[in-house]
Amino acid sequence: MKKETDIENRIEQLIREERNTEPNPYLSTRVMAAIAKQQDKKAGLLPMFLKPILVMASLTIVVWLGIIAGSAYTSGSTEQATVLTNDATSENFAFYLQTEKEE
Amino acid sequence: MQETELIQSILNGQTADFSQLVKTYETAVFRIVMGFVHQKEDAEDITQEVFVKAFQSLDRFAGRSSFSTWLFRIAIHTSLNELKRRKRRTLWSMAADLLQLPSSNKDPEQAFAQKTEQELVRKAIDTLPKKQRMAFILSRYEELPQRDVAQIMEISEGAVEQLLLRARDNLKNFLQRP
Repeated sequence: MKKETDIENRIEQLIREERNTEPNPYLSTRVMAAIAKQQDKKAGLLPMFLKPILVMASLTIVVWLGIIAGSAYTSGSTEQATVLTNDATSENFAFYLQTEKEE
Repeated sequence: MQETELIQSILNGQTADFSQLVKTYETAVFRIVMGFVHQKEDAEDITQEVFVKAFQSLDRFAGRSSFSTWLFRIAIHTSLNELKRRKRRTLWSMAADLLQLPSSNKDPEQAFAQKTEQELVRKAIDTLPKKQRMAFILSRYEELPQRDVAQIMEISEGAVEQLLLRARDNLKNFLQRP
C-alpha cells in the first residue's frame, strides 16, 4: 500500500507541472483576432439578407420605368408637308449663262 | 480604468478595450482549462473560446458577481462541454501523448515512467465526479480560496470543503489501486 504522502506528492507534482505550463504569448492577440472575425461575420450577414432584396428592387424599378416609358409614348401622326413647286417659276439657269454669251 | 468602466466602454463599442480583460485573465482561465484538459494546445483553444463567448455575452453580465467569477464559470462550462465532445479521443492521440517525452535531459526510461505516472494522476482527476473535479481544479490549479470557489460554483463554503475532502479521498483510492 502506497503512502499517503507519496500520493499527495504525485498529485502535487502534476499540478505544479501543469500550472507552470505557460500559454502562447500571442494568445491574447489570437483571442482578439477571433473576436474581430466573429464581428466581421456578423456585419457580413446584413448585406447577405439585403442582396436578394436589392436585386428584386432593381428589377421592379426597371419594369416600372419600362411601363412608364411605354405609357408615355403616343403615336402622334407625323405631319406631312407637301411642297408644291412650280417648275416654271424656278430660277432659270440661263440667266447665269448669259454673261458667258456676252463675252 | 476600473473593470466596470472597462466593461461599459466595451459595451459602448470600444471592442479593443476587451484585450485588457483578456490580458488580465488569460493565465487564470488557461490554468483552469488546463486542469480539465491537461494539454497545452487544447487549453489554448478552449481559452480562446471562453473569451469569445464572454465577449459575445458581455451585455448579459449583470455585475451581481465579480467579472472573474462570471468568467471562470464560463471557463468551467466550456471545458466540460468540450470534454463531453472529445470523450471519444482517438487511440492514436493518446499513444502520442504517452510517448511524447519531456524536454528535460532525464533518462528516457525514467522520463517514460514519470509520463505514465502522470497519466495515471490525470486519469484519477478526470474520473472525479463533476462537482468534486470543479472544486478541486479551482482550489488546486488556480489556488482560489474556498470563498471564491463557493461563489463560482454557487454553493456554500462548507459544501466546497466537503467536495474537496471527497475529491482527495477519491484520488487516493484511485491511485492506491494495485
